Amino acid sequence: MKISAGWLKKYTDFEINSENIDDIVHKLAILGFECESVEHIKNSFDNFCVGKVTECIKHPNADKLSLCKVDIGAETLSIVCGAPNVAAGQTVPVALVGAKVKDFVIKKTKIRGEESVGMICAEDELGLSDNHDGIMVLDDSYAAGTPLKELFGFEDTVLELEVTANRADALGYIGFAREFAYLTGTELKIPEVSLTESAEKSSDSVKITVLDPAACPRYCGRVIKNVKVQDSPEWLKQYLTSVGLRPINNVVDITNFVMLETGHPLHAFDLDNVAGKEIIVRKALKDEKFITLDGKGFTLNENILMICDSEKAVALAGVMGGLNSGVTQTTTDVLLEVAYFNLADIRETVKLTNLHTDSSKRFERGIDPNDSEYVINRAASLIRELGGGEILAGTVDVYPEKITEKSIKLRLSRTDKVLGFHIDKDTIISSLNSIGLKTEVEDSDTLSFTIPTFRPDITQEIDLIEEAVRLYGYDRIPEITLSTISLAPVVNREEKTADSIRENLRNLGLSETLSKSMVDGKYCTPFERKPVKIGHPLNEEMNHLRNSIVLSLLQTAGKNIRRKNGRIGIFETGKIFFYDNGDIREINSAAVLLTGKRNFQSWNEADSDYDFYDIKGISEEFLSCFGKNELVFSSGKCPSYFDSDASVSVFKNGSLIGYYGTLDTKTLEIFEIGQPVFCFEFDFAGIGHLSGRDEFRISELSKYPRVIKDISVLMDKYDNAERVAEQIRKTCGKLLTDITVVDIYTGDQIGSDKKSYTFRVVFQSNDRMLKDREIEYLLKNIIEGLKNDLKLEIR
Amino acid sequence: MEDFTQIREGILRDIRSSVSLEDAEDKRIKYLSKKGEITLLFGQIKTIAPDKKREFGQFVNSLRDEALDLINEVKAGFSDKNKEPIDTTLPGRKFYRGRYHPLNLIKDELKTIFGQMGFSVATGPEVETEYYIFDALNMPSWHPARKTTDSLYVDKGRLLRTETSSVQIRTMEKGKPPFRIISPGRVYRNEKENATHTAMFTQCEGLYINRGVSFAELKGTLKEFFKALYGKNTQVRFRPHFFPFTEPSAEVDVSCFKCGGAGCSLCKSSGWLELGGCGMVHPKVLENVGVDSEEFTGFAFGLGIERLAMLKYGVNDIRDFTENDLRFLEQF
Repeated sequence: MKISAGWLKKYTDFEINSENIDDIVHKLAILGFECESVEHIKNSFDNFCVGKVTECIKHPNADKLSLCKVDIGAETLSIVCGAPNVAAGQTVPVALVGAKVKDFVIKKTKIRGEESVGMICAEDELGLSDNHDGIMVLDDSYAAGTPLKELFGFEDTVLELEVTANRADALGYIGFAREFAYLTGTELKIPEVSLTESAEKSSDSVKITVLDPAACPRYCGRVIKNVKVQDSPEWLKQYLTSVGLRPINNVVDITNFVMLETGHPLHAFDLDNVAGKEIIVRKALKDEKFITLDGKGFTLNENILMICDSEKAVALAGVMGGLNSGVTQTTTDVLLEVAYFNLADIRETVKLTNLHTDSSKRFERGIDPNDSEYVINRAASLIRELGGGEILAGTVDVYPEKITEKSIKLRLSRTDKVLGFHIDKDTIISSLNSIGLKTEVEDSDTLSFTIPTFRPDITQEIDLIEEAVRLYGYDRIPEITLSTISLAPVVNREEKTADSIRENLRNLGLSETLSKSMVDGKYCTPFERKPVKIGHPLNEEMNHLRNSIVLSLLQTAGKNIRRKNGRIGIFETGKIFFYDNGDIREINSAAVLLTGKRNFQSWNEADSDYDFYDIKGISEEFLSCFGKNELVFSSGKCPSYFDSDASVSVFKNGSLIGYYGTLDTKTLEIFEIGQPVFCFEFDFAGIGHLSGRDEFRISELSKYPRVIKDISVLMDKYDNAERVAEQIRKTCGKLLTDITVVDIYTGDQIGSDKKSYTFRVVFQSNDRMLKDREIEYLLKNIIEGLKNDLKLEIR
Repeated sequence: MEDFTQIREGILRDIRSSVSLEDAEDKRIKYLSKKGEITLLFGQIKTIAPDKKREFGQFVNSLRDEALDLINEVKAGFSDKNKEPIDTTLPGRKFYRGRYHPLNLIKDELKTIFGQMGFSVATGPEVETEYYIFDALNMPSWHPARKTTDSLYVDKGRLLRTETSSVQIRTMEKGKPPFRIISPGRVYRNEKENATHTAMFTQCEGLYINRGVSFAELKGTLKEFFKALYGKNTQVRFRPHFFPFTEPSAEVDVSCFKCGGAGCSLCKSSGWLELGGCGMVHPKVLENVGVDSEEFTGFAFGLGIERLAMLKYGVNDIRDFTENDLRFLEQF
């Protein structure tokens, strides 16, 4: 809501100036009106003055131009003018050399060979309106040479204030001034209305019927006849322009002015266009069509409240008038409407039409039903003042059931309890009184207030407590901390699991990513869970909820590959969403992705790319973070987005807890990725159930030395290491403490269908020194086992 | 003779104090070169009384030998022939550490501070019913947030949560007061995306319900929290606001942590940063979950994690957080 400081002054005795503006802005914020901007408007019309056109002849070299002599008091200027309406004898605004008109500065110049010193201005060139229909003609009473500043100069400060959704009353100057008067300790001044009515009655000129009193509890109409519809005077135009409204004509401008003043929207009809001189307030018919005054067409339904005449609809109640009944230059008789509509009904119309107007904004929040009389009289008297005419006697007021003021109790003990500090009883009473709440009953603990109907937001005790503390000052609220004993923390298992997963994966050198939950549905297709579609998506890129964390990681990988970020080692934890037997389910999920460079070339190492064994190593190290679990790894059996030949499923106690391996190239194509990608995906809840490190017990260290031996085994190219390792473990039993592969050899020496693995075995006993012959015996058994049972050759 | 002893000890001490090979060589030049201090002593022999000449000559000779031995000894200590030279200016071997996502950094910090203040973490579903998002929170049926143009509906009656307040309702429904929780998590709006708005963002809401919980305690609690986050001189300012689920309600400003309130580009010269909303839980909300609003009172607050992160790290575009460009992430 824009508030002009110049106008606000008319409703309180306080003047905002450059000295106090910062203080006022701060105090308004503390009162609940945050100032979004402060704009200083100044137009002093330097180098503009009044001129008299003494001579006006056609330009010899241009059909549409005139040569004028303009008397500006001290001298007479030659000015070339292009306006069709310029004529000798006119009094006009003149921009002199040096004046700034819009964005250019007036200079002495020649136009088509004729000298021109200055410019005769149109209204838009003076910034007074958008009108460019020829030059502006002034009243002849102004003397030549009078500075234009004396006519139009103004200076104002406009505050743009945020008014919260509950405060419809503050969307009018009077309502806001009530708060401002409290803030500045001044008196609220409500303009007095004196009405001169003619003998003819409004009720003889218009009939009003409300068919839906629930949607329209009150409807007031008043008729003003023989009005001269014309441009508004400068003060009114300037005022409306300064708060962002476009001046139209005096009657429309007055309805806007009174709306801004009182916060109560009103509407003016051309009575001659109201068929049957009758207003009927009813709900629209199904599929009824209506064109608003801005030319938009709507198809309505039975929830939409309409203002109609005996033949047709003339307005969307409380939102916008129609194209067919507005006040124009040809209007003579005006019907003013000041109504009170039910909030929910206005919202229905706004929802359907998406028209958010100055009027609907106020009706939606709830205005005062009981100020209608004042509002309609204020507008009528202003119309008579600025447009003449006769105000017909009386208001046609359809108000079958008066909305009365409510009374609400406030307990001081309760106020203290909610606020945590004490506000003095007298302070509460006087502050609430000063914003219009009257004290009814007063006893030791309970106060009772009458709530004026302009504050429909106050409906219960807590609302009064809020008003009391707001007026007391939020900046005066003490900051209390109570040193009570903390509640025992409730462990959130999911959050704890997520934190533990994140910590362990970061420790493995992987970076966290966080991606949007909303994704393009095409990315959901490789993943087996049935994706959830969003009903009204923002755009196609966000029309589904992700059904896999791998999906998000692939999106991130794709973006980073395209940006040439070479080393991508990332993980993400978060929710995934899917349909499960028709129900939407959401579960926490987590996955790791590796692609691109493992490391970059440096003086001490060659560059290398991530491969299958990186994701395998990370998976194993990660799973070891969660205690000594009996995990079983099994090749294959992974979802289809994994490469079935290069992926592994991980089981714990027979149940699956994750997969790792190389991703399938067809899936990568969907994400436009052309390089190998490795993922490790695990069951979030399953990880949460692995025994934690807290339950882990150490194994005792042996006091006796280790014996290390290497055994090279010649194997078939398609054979695997685990088969050999298992055989060795079986043979050695407890004395074997570690086994690993330390070298792989392929080459012509052994034939292209063979490979040689060198296994390193470590022997150690906890209770004795191993003797040489024990070792020899073990090695002999290993070699024989491999030869006899696995049919392998030892090198 | 006392003189001689002093000269000798001074020179030997100086040689012993060499700090490097180069330093020891400098000392050799200083004492033993052609114009070195010891060499020059030989020239002084003619100024010595005849009966002392012999003694002086012996002294200088032995000093020269002693100094030379010591310099060689010192030098030997610095140069180990078996050591390979190390070029300490070559780049070190590259190690990679896993990075925190900036939103998680902030979230973890909030969890730690509020955790120490006695708040437990509560979580809940992101796809929610209208009841938990609107009805239970005293949000009237006409409230704009309920429109499909403002919220992301999955189907009729179910939508992506617009606040994590739904978690508060679920927590209160399940138990009995007192409650003291924070509910960090994702929330969603049907909002066109730009540098300051995204359809998905992260909130951290807090709730404390107990006997005797007051508005003044809310202000004190938030002040303590912001002091922990931004330093002990941090000030908190409340401005009245309107939320359907709290009353009295306030928007929370915090004195700018960059300029301390003097006014700078971060706080747009106001000295204050708007960081969240809060208020006393509306009696209707308490009654909706079966808590006696006469016996119990409580407060709730909400902070935007993206906003805290943007201010803290100078991120100008909120979309950077979900873009996951590694050049961005690796700065944390």
